[in-house]
Amino acid sequence: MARGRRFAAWLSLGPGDLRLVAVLLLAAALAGLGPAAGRLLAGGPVSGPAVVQAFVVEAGGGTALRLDPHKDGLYSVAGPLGETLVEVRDGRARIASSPCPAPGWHGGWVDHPGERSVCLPNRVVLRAEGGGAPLDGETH
Amino acid sequence: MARLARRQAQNLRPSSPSRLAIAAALALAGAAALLAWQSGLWSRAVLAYEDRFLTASDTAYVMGTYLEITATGHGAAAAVERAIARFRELDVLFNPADPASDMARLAANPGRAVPVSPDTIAVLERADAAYRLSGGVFDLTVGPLVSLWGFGPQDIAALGTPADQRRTSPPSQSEIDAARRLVDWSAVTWDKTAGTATLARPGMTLATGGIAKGYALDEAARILREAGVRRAVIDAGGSLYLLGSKAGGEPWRIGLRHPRQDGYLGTLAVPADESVSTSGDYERYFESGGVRYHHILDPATGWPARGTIAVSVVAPDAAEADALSTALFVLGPEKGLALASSLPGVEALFVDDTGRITMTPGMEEMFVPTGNTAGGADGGNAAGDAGGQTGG
Repeated sequence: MARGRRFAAWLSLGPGDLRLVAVLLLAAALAGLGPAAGRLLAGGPVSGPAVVQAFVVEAGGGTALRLDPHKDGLYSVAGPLGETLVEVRDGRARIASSPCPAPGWHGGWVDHPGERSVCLPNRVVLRAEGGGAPLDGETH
Repeated sequence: MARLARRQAQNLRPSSPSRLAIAAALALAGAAALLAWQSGLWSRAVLAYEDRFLTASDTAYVMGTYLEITATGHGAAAAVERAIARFRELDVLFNPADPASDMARLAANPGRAVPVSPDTIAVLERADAAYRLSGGVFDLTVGPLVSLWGFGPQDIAALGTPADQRRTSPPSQSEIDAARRLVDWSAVTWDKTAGTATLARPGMTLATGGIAKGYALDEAARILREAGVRRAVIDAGGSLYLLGSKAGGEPWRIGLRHPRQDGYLGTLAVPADESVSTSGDYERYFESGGVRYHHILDPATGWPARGTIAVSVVAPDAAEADALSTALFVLGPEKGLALASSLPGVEALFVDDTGRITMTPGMEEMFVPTGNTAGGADGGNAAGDAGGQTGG
Protein backbone atom coordinates (compact mmCIF):
# COMPACT_ATOMS: atom_id res chain seq x y z
CA MET A 1 0.00 0.00 0.00
CA ALA A 2 2.83 2.32 0.90
CA ARG A 3 4.62 1.43 -2.31
CA GLY A 4 1.45 2.16 -4.20
CA ARG A 5 1.18 5.55 -2.63
CA ARG A 6 4.81 6.26 -3.41
CA PHE A 7 4.31 5.15 -7.00
CA ALA A 8 1.29 7.35 -7.42
CA ALA A 9 3.20 10.19 -5.86
CA TRP A 10 6.14 9.59 -8.20
CA LEU A 11 3.79 9.75 -11.16
CA SER A 12 2.35 12.89 -9.62
CA LEU A 13 -1.12 11.71 -10.32
CA GLY A 14 -4.01 13.71 -9.03
CA PRO A 15 -7.45 12.26 -8.26
CA GLY A 16 -8.73 13.28 -11.69
CA ASP A 17 -5.85 11.44 -13.34
CA LEU A 18 -6.50 8.32 -11.35
CA ARG A 19 -10.15 8.41 -12.26
CA LEU A 20 -9.20 8.63 -15.93
CA VAL A 21 -6.97 5.59 -15.61
CA ALA A 22 -9.68 3.76 -13.69
CA VAL A 23 -12.24 4.49 -16.39
CA LEU A 24 -9.91 3.20 -19.09
CA LEU A 25 -9.18 0.01 -17.19
CA LEU A 26 -12.89 -0.47 -16.50
CA ALA A 27 -13.61 -0.16 -20.22
CA ALA A 28 -11.03 -2.81 -20.96
CA ALA A 29 -12.51 -5.06 -18.29
CA LEU A 30 -15.99 -4.65 -19.76
CA ALA A 31 -14.56 -5.68 -23.08
CA GLY A 32 -13.56 -8.87 -21.41
CA LEU A 33 -17.20 -9.62 -20.67
CA GLY A 34 -17.84 -10.04 -24.37
CA PRO A 35 -16.23 -13.41 -24.82
CA ALA A 36 -17.70 -14.64 -21.57
CA ALA A 37 -21.16 -13.65 -22.76
CA GLY A 38 -20.43 -15.26 -26.08
CA ARG A 39 -19.49 -18.55 -24.50
CA LEU A 40 -22.60 -18.48 -22.38
CA LEU A 41 -24.90 -17.79 -25.31
CA ALA A 42 -23.24 -20.27 -27.61
CA GLY A 43 -23.90 -22.93 -25.03
CA GLY A 44 -20.61 -24.68 -25.07
CA PRO A 45 -17.67 -25.44 -27.32
CA VAL A 46 -18.22 -25.93 -31.04
CA SER A 47 -14.94 -27.54 -31.78
CA GLY A 48 -14.12 -31.16 -31.25
CA PRO A 49 -15.27 -34.42 -32.77
CA ALA A 50 -18.77 -34.63 -34.22
CA VAL A 51 -21.04 -36.62 -31.89
CA VAL A 52 -24.64 -37.55 -32.51
CA GLN A 53 -26.70 -36.56 -29.49
CA ALA A 54 -30.10 -37.60 -30.79
CA PHE A 55 -31.88 -38.96 -33.83
CA VAL A 56 -34.92 -36.84 -34.57
CA VAL A 57 -37.77 -38.28 -36.60
CA GLU A 58 -40.24 -35.81 -38.10
CA ALA A 59 -43.58 -36.99 -39.37
CA GLY A 60 -46.63 -34.95 -40.31
CA GLY A 61 -44.66 -31.71 -40.09
CA GLY A 62 -43.68 -31.99 -36.43
CA THR A 63 -41.17 -33.89 -34.34
CA ALA A 64 -42.62 -37.30 -33.73
CA LEU A 65 -39.70 -39.01 -32.01
CA ARG A 66 -36.46 -38.11 -30.34
CA LEU A 67 -34.27 -41.21 -30.17
CA ASP A 68 -31.26 -42.00 -28.03
CA PRO A 69 -28.37 -43.14 -30.24
CA HIS A 70 -27.32 -45.55 -27.51
CA LYS A 71 -30.64 -47.38 -27.42
CA ASP A 72 -30.90 -49.92 -30.22
CA GLY A 73 -34.42 -50.52 -31.42
CA LEU A 74 -37.12 -50.28 -34.04
CA TYR A 75 -39.43 -47.29 -33.85
CA SER A 76 -42.63 -46.63 -35.76
CA VAL A 77 -44.08 -43.38 -37.08
CA ALA A 78 -47.19 -42.85 -39.19
CA GLY A 79 -47.36 -40.85 -42.39
CA PRO A 80 -50.03 -40.27 -45.05
CA LEU A 81 -49.08 -43.49 -46.85
CA GLY A 82 -48.68 -45.65 -43.77
CA GLU A 83 -46.10 -46.75 -41.28
CA THR A 84 -42.40 -45.95 -41.48
CA LEU A 85 -40.00 -47.92 -39.32
CA VAL A 86 -36.80 -46.31 -38.09
CA GLU A 87 -33.98 -48.50 -36.83
CA VAL A 88 -31.30 -47.42 -34.36
CA ARG A 89 -28.29 -49.69 -34.09
CA ASP A 90 -24.74 -49.17 -32.83
CA GLY A 91 -25.10 -45.39 -32.70
CA ARG A 92 -26.49 -45.14 -36.25
CA ALA A 93 -30.02 -44.86 -37.55
CA ARG A 94 -31.83 -45.49 -40.81
CA ILE A 95 -35.27 -45.72 -42.33
CA ALA A 96 -35.67 -49.50 -42.22
CA SER A 97 -38.96 -49.74 -44.06
CA SER A 98 -41.51 -47.35 -45.43
CA PRO A 99 -44.29 -47.18 -47.97
CA CYS A 100 -41.84 -45.03 -50.00
CA PRO A 101 -41.20 -46.83 -53.25
CA ALA A 102 -37.45 -47.26 -53.74
CA PRO A 103 -35.46 -45.30 -54.59
CA GLY A 104 -37.85 -42.64 -53.33
CA TRP A 105 -35.76 -41.88 -50.32
CA HIS A 106 -32.17 -41.82 -49.27
CA GLY A 107 -31.86 -45.18 -47.66
CA GLY A 108 -28.77 -45.91 -45.72
CA TRP A 109 -27.41 -45.23 -42.29
CA VAL A 110 -27.27 -41.79 -40.75
CA ASP A 111 -24.52 -41.31 -38.19
CA HIS A 112 -23.14 -37.82 -38.55
CA PRO A 113 -24.64 -34.63 -37.06
CA GLY A 114 -26.50 -32.77 -39.81
CA GLU A 115 -27.01 -35.92 -41.90
CA ARG A 116 -30.55 -36.86 -42.80
CA SER A 117 -32.64 -39.37 -44.64
CA VAL A 118 -36.00 -38.41 -46.13
CA CYS A 119 -38.99 -40.47 -47.24
CA LEU A 120 -40.72 -37.91 -49.41
CA PRO A 121 -43.96 -39.71 -50.21
CA ASN A 122 -44.65 -40.56 -46.57
CA ARG A 123 -43.43 -37.17 -45.31
CA VAL A 124 -40.92 -38.67 -42.88
CA VAL A 125 -37.54 -37.11 -42.12
CA LEU A 126 -34.82 -38.76 -40.05
CA ARG A 127 -31.99 -36.49 -38.97
CA ALA A 128 -28.98 -36.72 -36.68
CA GLU A 129 -28.51 -33.90 -34.20
CA GLY A 130 -25.33 -33.26 -32.37
CA GLY A 131 -22.44 -31.04 -31.45
CA GLY A 132 -18.86 -31.07 -32.52
CA ALA A 133 -18.35 -29.69 -35.99
CA PRO A 134 -21.63 -30.44 -37.74
CA LEU A 135 -22.13 -29.99 -41.41
CA ASP A 136 -24.12 -26.97 -42.57
CA GLY A 137 -25.82 -29.08 -45.22
CA GLU A 138 -25.35 -31.85 -47.69
CA THR A 139 -25.59 -31.95 -51.42
CA HIS A 140 -26.80 -34.91 -53.42
CA MET B 1 -8.13 6.53 -3.58
CA ALA B 2 -9.68 9.30 -1.52
CA ARG B 3 -6.87 8.94 1.06
CA LEU B 4 -4.28 9.26 -1.66
CA ALA B 5 -6.00 12.34 -2.98
CA ARG B 6 -5.97 13.92 0.45
CA ARG B 7 -2.29 13.20 0.89
CA GLN B 8 -1.65 14.67 -2.54
CA ALA B 9 -3.52 17.76 -1.59
CA GLN B 10 -1.59 17.93 1.68
CA ASN B 11 1.67 17.67 -0.18
CA LEU B 12 0.49 20.45 -2.45
CA ARG B 13 2.39 18.93 -5.36
CA PRO B 14 1.11 19.87 -8.79
CA SER B 15 0.78 17.05 -11.42
CA SER B 16 3.80 16.73 -13.67
CA PRO B 17 2.50 16.90 -17.26
CA SER B 18 5.13 14.63 -18.77
CA ARG B 19 4.64 11.82 -16.23
CA LEU B 20 0.89 12.08 -16.49
CA ALA B 21 1.14 11.91 -20.24
CA ILE B 22 3.24 8.76 -19.97
CA ALA B 23 0.80 7.15 -17.57
CA ALA B 24 -2.24 8.06 -19.66
CA ALA B 25 -0.59 6.92 -22.85
CA LEU B 26 0.35 3.59 -21.30
CA ALA B 27 -3.14 3.08 -19.97
CA LEU B 28 -4.71 4.01 -23.29
CA ALA B 29 -2.36 1.78 -25.21
CA GLY B 30 -3.07 -1.10 -22.89
CA ALA B 31 -6.81 -0.57 -23.10
CA ALA B 32 -6.73 -0.24 -26.86
CA ALA B 33 -4.72 -3.43 -27.25
CA LEU B 34 -7.08 -5.26 -24.94
CA LEU B 35 -10.12 -3.94 -26.78
CA ALA B 36 -8.69 -4.86 -30.14
CA TRP B 37 -8.04 -8.39 -28.97
CA GLN B 38 -11.39 -8.62 -27.31
CA SER B 39 -13.31 -7.11 -30.24
CA GLY B 40 -12.77 -10.26 -32.27
CA LEU B 41 -14.25 -12.09 -29.35
CA TRP B 42 -16.96 -9.47 -29.02
CA SER B 43 -18.07 -10.01 -32.59
CA ARG B 44 -18.26 -13.71 -31.87
CA ALA B 45 -20.46 -12.91 -28.90
CA VAL B 46 -22.73 -10.93 -31.19
CA LEU B 47 -22.83 -13.80 -33.65
CA ALA B 48 -23.63 -16.27 -30.89
CA TYR B 49 -26.47 -14.02 -29.77
CA GLU B 50 -27.80 -13.83 -33.33
CA ASP B 51 -27.60 -17.59 -33.73
CA ARG B 52 -29.47 -18.17 -30.52
CA PHE B 53 -32.11 -15.46 -30.70
CA LEU B 54 -32.39 -14.25 -34.30
CA THR B 55 -32.38 -17.55 -36.19
CA ALA B 56 -35.52 -19.00 -37.76
CA SER B 57 -36.02 -22.26 -39.56
CA ASP B 58 -38.85 -23.91 -41.45
CA THR B 59 -39.44 -26.78 -43.86
CA ALA B 60 -41.89 -27.60 -46.63
CA TYR B 61 -42.61 -30.32 -49.16
CA VAL B 62 -42.56 -28.42 -52.44
CA MET B 63 -41.32 -28.88 -56.05
CA GLY B 64 -41.31 -32.60 -55.43
CA THR B 65 -38.69 -32.31 -52.74
CA TYR B 66 -38.00 -31.46 -49.11
CA LEU B 67 -37.16 -27.78 -48.62
CA GLU B 68 -35.45 -26.52 -45.50
CA ILE B 69 -34.52 -22.89 -44.85
CA THR B 70 -32.50 -21.68 -41.85
CA ALA B 71 -31.88 -17.94 -41.66
CA THR B 72 -30.28 -15.53 -39.16
CA GLY B 73 -31.01 -11.83 -38.86
CA HIS B 74 -33.73 -9.44 -37.76
CA GLY B 75 -37.04 -10.46 -39.32
CA ALA B 76 -35.67 -13.87 -40.27
CA ALA B 77 -38.84 -15.77 -39.35
CA ALA B 78 -41.10 -13.71 -41.60
CA ALA B 79 -38.51 -13.77 -44.40
CA VAL B 80 -38.27 -17.56 -44.24
CA GLU B 81 -42.05 -17.86 -44.62
CA ARG B 82 -42.04 -15.50 -47.62
CA ALA B 83 -39.24 -17.49 -49.23
CA ILE B 84 -41.18 -20.73 -48.80
CA ALA B 85 -44.28 -19.08 -50.23
CA ARG B 86 -42.25 -18.03 -53.27
CA PHE B 87 -41.16 -21.64 -53.76
CA ARG B 88 -44.81 -22.70 -53.72
CA GLU B 89 -45.71 -19.97 -56.21
CA LEU B 90 -43.00 -21.10 -58.62
CA ASP B 91 -43.95 -24.75 -58.12
CA VAL B 92 -47.42 -23.92 -59.41
CA LEU B 93 -45.99 -22.19 -62.48
CA PHE B 94 -43.42 -24.79 -63.47
CA ASN B 95 -45.03 -28.13 -62.67
CA PRO B 96 -46.20 -29.71 -65.95
CA ALA B 97 -48.36 -32.18 -64.01
CA ASP B 98 -50.54 -29.30 -62.80
CA PRO B 99 -52.96 -28.34 -65.60
CA ALA B 100 -53.07 -24.75 -64.37
CA SER B 101 -49.29 -24.29 -64.64
CA ASP B 102 -47.65 -22.21 -67.35
CA MET B 103 -45.83 -25.33 -68.52
CA ALA B 104 -49.01 -27.37 -68.88
CA ARG B 105 -50.81 -24.57 -70.70
CA LEU B 106 -47.89 -24.18 -73.12
CA ALA B 107 -48.00 -27.90 -73.91
CA ALA B 108 -51.79 -27.81 -74.31
CA ASN B 109 -51.67 -24.97 -76.86
CA PRO B 110 -49.02 -25.79 -79.48
CA GLY B 111 -48.43 -23.14 -82.09
CA ARG B 112 -50.20 -20.46 -80.04
CA ALA B 113 -48.78 -17.50 -78.13
CA VAL B 114 -49.71 -18.36 -74.53
CA PRO B 115 -49.68 -15.66 -71.85
CA VAL B 116 -47.17 -16.71 -69.20
CA SER B 117 -45.73 -15.17 -66.05
CA PRO B 118 -42.52 -13.11 -66.05
CA ASP B 119 -40.93 -15.95 -64.04
CA THR B 120 -41.56 -18.35 -66.91
CA ILE B 121 -39.99 -15.91 -69.36
CA ALA B 122 -37.02 -15.57 -67.00
CA VAL B 123 -36.58 -19.34 -66.82
CA LEU B 124 -36.77 -19.62 -70.61
CA GLU B 125 -34.05 -16.99 -70.91
CA ARG B 126 -31.84 -18.78 -68.39
CA ALA B 127 -32.46 -22.09 -70.13
CA ASP B 128 -31.52 -20.52 -73.44
CA ALA B 129 -28.23 -19.30 -72.01
CA ALA B 130 -27.52 -22.77 -70.63
CA TYR B 131 -28.43 -24.36 -73.98
CA ARG B 132 -25.92 -22.21 -75.81
CA LEU B 133 -23.24 -22.52 -73.16
CA SER B 134 -23.49 -26.32 -73.19
CA GLY B 135 -23.61 -26.72 -76.96
CA GLY B 136 -27.22 -27.89 -76.84
CA VAL B 137 -26.71 -30.49 -74.13
CA PHE B 138 -29.01 -28.65 -71.70
CA ASP B 139 -32.37 -28.64 -73.44
CA LEU B 140 -35.69 -28.04 -71.72
CA THR B 141 -37.57 -29.67 -74.61
CA VAL B 142 -36.54 -33.19 -73.45
CA GLY B 143 -39.94 -33.34 -71.71
CA PRO B 144 -41.38 -36.08 -73.98
CA LEU B 145 -38.27 -38.22 -73.48
CA VAL B 146 -38.34 -37.78 -69.71
CA SER B 147 -42.01 -38.80 -69.63
CA LEU B 148 -41.34 -41.78 -71.90
CA TRP B 149 -38.65 -43.03 -69.52
CA GLY B 150 -41.07 -42.67 -66.63
CA PHE B 151 -39.15 -39.94 -64.85
CA GLY B 152 -41.69 -37.20 -65.42
CA PRO B 153 -43.22 -35.42 -62.47
CA GLN B 154 -46.22 -37.22 -61.12
CA ASP B 155 -48.44 -37.19 -58.11
CA ILE B 156 -46.86 -38.83 -55.12
CA ALA B 157 -50.28 -40.31 -54.50
CA ALA B 158 -50.07 -42.13 -57.83
CA LEU B 159 -47.00 -44.10 -56.80
CA GLY B 160 -47.81 -47.79 -56.47
CA THR B 161 -51.20 -47.39 -58.19
CA PRO B 162 -52.11 -48.20 -61.82
CA ALA B 163 -51.45 -44.52 -62.58
CA ASP B 164 -47.79 -44.98 -61.60
CA GLN B 165 -45.61 -43.78 -64.49
CA ARG B 166 -42.43 -45.50 -63.41
CA ARG B 167 -40.93 -48.07 -65.72
CA THR B 168 -39.24 -51.35 -65.03
CA SER B 169 -37.70 -51.75 -68.49
CA PRO B 170 -36.40 -49.36 -71.17
CA PRO B 171 -38.72 -48.05 -73.91
CA SER B 172 -38.17 -49.37 -77.44
CA GLN B 173 -35.80 -47.57 -79.81
CA SER B 174 -38.70 -46.55 -82.06
CA GLU B 175 -40.50 -45.01 -79.07
CA ILE B 176 -37.31 -43.16 -78.19
CA ASP B 177 -36.88 -41.96 -81.77
CA ALA B 178 -40.45 -40.67 -81.86
CA ALA B 179 -39.93 -38.76 -78.61
CA ARG B 180 -36.61 -37.38 -79.84
CA ARG B 181 -38.34 -35.77 -82.81
CA LEU B 182 -40.09 -33.49 -80.32
CA VAL B 183 -36.80 -32.39 -78.74
CA ASP B 184 -36.12 -29.06 -80.45
CA TRP B 185 -35.17 -25.94 -78.52
CA SER B 186 -35.45 -23.82 -81.68
CA ALA B 187 -39.17 -24.56 -81.66
CA VAL B 188 -39.56 -22.64 -78.38
CA THR B 189 -40.09 -18.91 -78.73
CA TRP B 190 -41.13 -16.15 -76.37
CA ASP B 191 -41.93 -12.47 -76.35
CA LYS B 192 -40.81 -10.77 -73.18
CA THR B 193 -42.69 -7.55 -73.86
CA ALA B 194 -45.94 -9.28 -74.71
CA GLY B 195 -45.45 -11.79 -71.91
CA THR B 196 -46.15 -14.80 -74.09
CA ALA B 197 -44.38 -18.01 -75.09
CA THR B 198 -44.98 -20.68 -77.71
CA LEU B 199 -44.18 -24.34 -78.24
CA ALA B 200 -44.33 -24.71 -82.02
CA ARG B 201 -45.28 -28.40 -82.33
CA PRO B 202 -47.96 -30.63 -80.79
CA GLY B 203 -46.59 -33.10 -78.28
CA MET B 204 -43.78 -30.84 -77.14
CA THR B 205 -43.37 -30.41 -73.39
CA LEU B 206 -40.79 -28.63 -71.28
CA ALA B 207 -38.97 -30.50 -68.50
CA THR B 208 -38.14 -27.82 -65.96
CA GLY B 209 -36.64 -30.17 -63.38
CA GLY B 210 -33.09 -29.21 -64.33
CA ILE B 211 -33.51 -25.49 -63.63
CA ALA B 212 -36.67 -24.77 -61.63
CA LYS B 213 -35.12 -25.50 -58.24
CA GLY B 214 -32.13 -23.32 -59.05
CA TYR B 215 -34.34 -20.44 -60.12
CA ALA B 216 -36.41 -20.80 -56.97
CA LEU B 217 -33.25 -20.85 -54.83
CA ASP B 218 -32.12 -17.57 -56.36
CA GLU B 219 -35.54 -16.05 -55.69
CA ALA B 220 -35.56 -17.27 -52.10
CA ALA B 221 -32.06 -15.85 -51.55
CA ARG B 222 -33.17 -12.51 -52.97
CA ILE B 223 -36.15 -12.39 -50.60
CA LEU B 224 -34.02 -13.23 -47.57
CA ARG B 225 -31.36 -10.70 -48.51
CA GLU B 226 -33.90 -7.92 -49.05
CA ALA B 227 -35.35 -8.68 -45.63
CA GLY B 228 -31.95 -8.08 -44.04
CA VAL B 229 -31.06 -11.70 -43.36
CA ARG B 230 -27.30 -11.88 -42.76
CA ARG B 231 -26.74 -15.58 -43.28
CA ALA B 232 -28.87 -18.50 -44.33
CA VAL B 233 -28.84 -22.03 -45.68
CA ILE B 234 -31.54 -22.78 -48.24
CA ASP B 235 -31.69 -26.50 -48.95
CA ALA B 236 -34.03 -27.72 -51.68
CA GLY B 237 -33.54 -31.48 -51.60
CA GLY B 238 -29.76 -31.30 -51.82
CA SER B 239 -29.55 -28.22 -54.04
CA LEU B 240 -28.27 -25.47 -51.80
CA TYR B 241 -27.88 -21.72 -51.62
CA LEU B 242 -25.50 -20.48 -48.91
CA LEU B 243 -26.27 -16.86 -48.18
CA GLY B 244 -23.65 -14.76 -46.42
CA SER B 245 -20.85 -16.10 -44.30
CA LYS B 246 -21.10 -18.57 -41.53
CA ALA B 247 -20.79 -17.12 -38.04
CA GLY B 248 -17.11 -16.47 -37.54
CA GLY B 249 -16.41 -15.97 -41.24
CA GLU B 250 -15.56 -19.63 -41.78
CA PRO B 251 -16.60 -21.34 -44.98
CA TRP B 252 -19.78 -23.40 -45.04
CA ARG B 253 -19.12 -27.12 -44.59
CA ILE B 254 -21.18 -29.15 -47.02
CA GLY B 255 -21.20 -32.92 -47.11
CA LEU B 256 -20.99 -34.47 -50.57
CA ARG B 257 -22.94 -37.73 -50.52
CA HIS B 258 -21.15 -40.76 -51.84
CA PRO B 259 -22.92 -41.84 -55.02
CA ARG B 260 -22.74 -45.55 -54.24
CA GLN B 261 -22.56 -46.09 -50.50
CA ASP B 262 -23.60 -44.62 -47.16
CA GLY B 263 -21.82 -41.57 -45.92
CA TYR B 264 -19.88 -38.89 -47.72
CA LEU B 265 -17.39 -38.78 -50.54
CA GLY B 266 -15.98 -35.75 -48.79
CA THR B 267 -16.89 -32.24 -47.72
CA LEU B 268 -16.82 -28.94 -49.53
CA ALA B 269 -15.62 -25.77 -47.79
CA VAL B 270 -17.81 -23.29 -49.63
CA PRO B 271 -17.36 -19.50 -49.39
CA ALA B 272 -20.18 -16.98 -48.89
CA ASP B 273 -23.02 -16.49 -51.38
CA GLU B 274 -22.63 -19.61 -53.45
CA SER B 275 -24.99 -22.28 -54.71
CA VAL B 276 -24.18 -26.00 -54.72
CA SER B 277 -26.00 -28.34 -57.08
CA THR B 278 -25.46 -32.06 -57.68
CA SER B 279 -26.67 -34.35 -60.43
CA GLY B 280 -26.37 -38.07 -59.87
CA ASP B 281 -27.48 -41.33 -61.37
CA TYR B 282 -28.54 -42.61 -57.95
CA GLU B 283 -31.52 -40.37 -57.31
CA ARG B 284 -34.12 -41.49 -59.82
CA TYR B 285 -33.55 -44.70 -61.71
CA PHE B 286 -34.70 -48.22 -62.35
CA GLU B 287 -32.68 -51.31 -63.03
CA SER B 288 -33.38 -53.78 -65.78
CA GLY B 289 -31.20 -56.68 -66.88
CA GLY B 290 -28.52 -55.56 -64.45
CA VAL B 291 -28.28 -52.11 -66.06
CA ARG B 292 -29.19 -48.87 -64.31
CA TYR B 293 -31.38 -46.49 -66.32
CA HIS B 294 -31.36 -43.08 -64.65
CA HIS B 295 -33.18 -39.80 -65.21
CA ILE B 296 -30.41 -37.64 -66.74
CA LEU B 297 -31.00 -38.15 -70.44
CA ASP B 298 -28.69 -37.25 -73.29
CA PRO B 299 -30.86 -35.27 -75.76
CA ALA B 300 -28.65 -36.42 -78.64
CA THR B 301 -29.31 -40.13 -78.10
CA GLY B 302 -32.51 -40.18 -76.07
CA TRP B 303 -30.86 -42.60 -73.61
CA PRO B 304 -29.49 -41.96 -70.10
CA ALA B 305 -26.07 -40.33 -70.30
CA ARG B 306 -23.18 -42.72 -69.65
CA GLY B 307 -19.70 -42.27 -68.26
CA THR B 308 -20.54 -40.21 -65.20
CA ILE B 309 -22.23 -41.15 -61.95
CA ALA B 310 -22.23 -37.75 -60.20
CA VAL B 311 -21.38 -34.10 -60.79
CA SER B 312 -21.41 -31.31 -58.22
CA VAL B 313 -21.25 -27.66 -59.23
CA VAL B 314 -20.52 -24.60 -57.10
CA ALA B 315 -21.48 -21.25 -58.65
CA PRO B 316 -22.79 -17.91 -57.37
CA ASP B 317 -26.00 -18.26 -59.39
CA ALA B 318 -28.26 -21.16 -58.41
CA ALA B 319 -30.11 -21.44 -61.72
CA GLU B 320 -26.74 -21.67 -63.48
CA ALA B 321 -25.45 -24.26 -60.99
CA ASP B 322 -28.63 -26.30 -61.42
CA ALA B 323 -28.54 -26.27 -65.24
CA LEU B 324 -24.79 -26.85 -65.33
CA SER B 325 -24.85 -29.87 -63.04
CA THR B 326 -27.18 -31.53 -65.55
CA ALA B 327 -25.25 -30.37 -68.62
CA LEU B 328 -21.84 -31.33 -67.21
CA PHE B 329 -23.16 -34.75 -66.24
CA VAL B 330 -24.19 -35.39 -69.85
CA LEU B 331 -20.97 -33.93 -71.26
CA GLY B 332 -18.90 -36.26 -69.08
CA PRO B 333 -15.70 -35.66 -67.13
CA GLU B 334 -13.44 -34.61 -70.01
CA LYS B 335 -15.64 -32.23 -71.98
CA GLY B 336 -17.46 -31.21 -68.83
CA LEU B 337 -14.27 -30.33 -66.98
CA ALA B 338 -13.09 -28.28 -69.96
CA LEU B 339 -16.36 -26.36 -70.08
CA ALA B 340 -16.47 -25.76 -66.31
CA SER B 341 -12.86 -24.56 -66.29
CA SER B 342 -13.73 -21.99 -68.95
CA LEU B 343 -16.61 -20.47 -66.96
CA PRO B 344 -15.64 -17.76 -64.46
CA GLY B 345 -16.87 -18.39 -60.94
CA VAL B 346 -17.95 -21.97 -61.70
CA GLU B 347 -16.32 -24.95 -59.99
CA ALA B 348 -17.18 -28.59 -60.63
CA LEU B 349 -16.38 -32.07 -59.37
CA PHE B 350 -16.94 -35.21 -61.42
CA VAL B 351 -17.19 -38.85 -60.39
CA ASP B 352 -16.91 -41.05 -63.45
CA ASP B 353 -18.29 -44.55 -63.83
CA THR B 354 -15.04 -46.09 -62.57
CA GLY B 355 -15.24 -44.03 -59.39
CA ARG B 356 -12.44 -41.72 -60.42
CA ILE B 357 -12.83 -38.15 -59.11
CA THR B 358 -11.67 -35.12 -61.12
CA MET B 359 -12.34 -31.46 -60.49
CA THR B 360 -11.60 -27.87 -61.44
CA PRO B 361 -8.66 -26.19 -59.63
CA GLY B 362 -10.99 -24.02 -57.56
CA MET B 363 -12.86 -27.11 -56.41
CA GLU B 364 -9.54 -28.62 -55.26
CA GLU B 365 -9.36 -25.79 -52.74
CA MET B 366 -12.81 -26.60 -51.42
CA PHE B 367 -12.94 -30.40 -51.50
CA VAL B 368 -11.74 -32.43 -48.51
CA PRO B 369 -12.00 -36.16 -49.14
CA THR B 370 -13.42 -38.39 -46.45
CA GLY B 371 -11.41 -41.00 -44.56
CA ASN B 372 -9.45 -43.34 -46.76
CA THR B 373 -9.95 -41.75 -50.20
CA ALA B 374 -6.52 -41.10 -51.65
CA GLY B 375 -5.51 -37.62 -52.69
CA GLY B 376 -3.94 -37.07 -56.11
CA ALA B 377 -1.36 -34.51 -57.04
CA ASP B 378 -2.34 -34.68 -60.68
CA GLY B 379 -5.87 -33.57 -60.03
CA GLY B 380 -7.31 -37.06 -59.96
CA ASN B 381 -8.34 -38.89 -56.83
CA ALA B 382 -9.25 -42.49 -56.34
CA ALA B 383 -12.68 -42.67 -54.82
CA GLY B 384 -11.69 -45.66 -52.75
CA ASP B 385 -12.84 -49.22 -53.06
CA ALA B 386 -16.45 -49.59 -54.00
CA GLY B 387 -16.75 -52.13 -51.23
CA GLY B 388 -14.91 -50.09 -48.60
CA GLN B 389 -16.49 -48.03 -45.88
CA THR B 390 -15.87 -44.32 -45.58
CA GLY B 391 -14.21 -43.26 -42.35
CA GLY B 392 -16.13 -42.14 -39.28
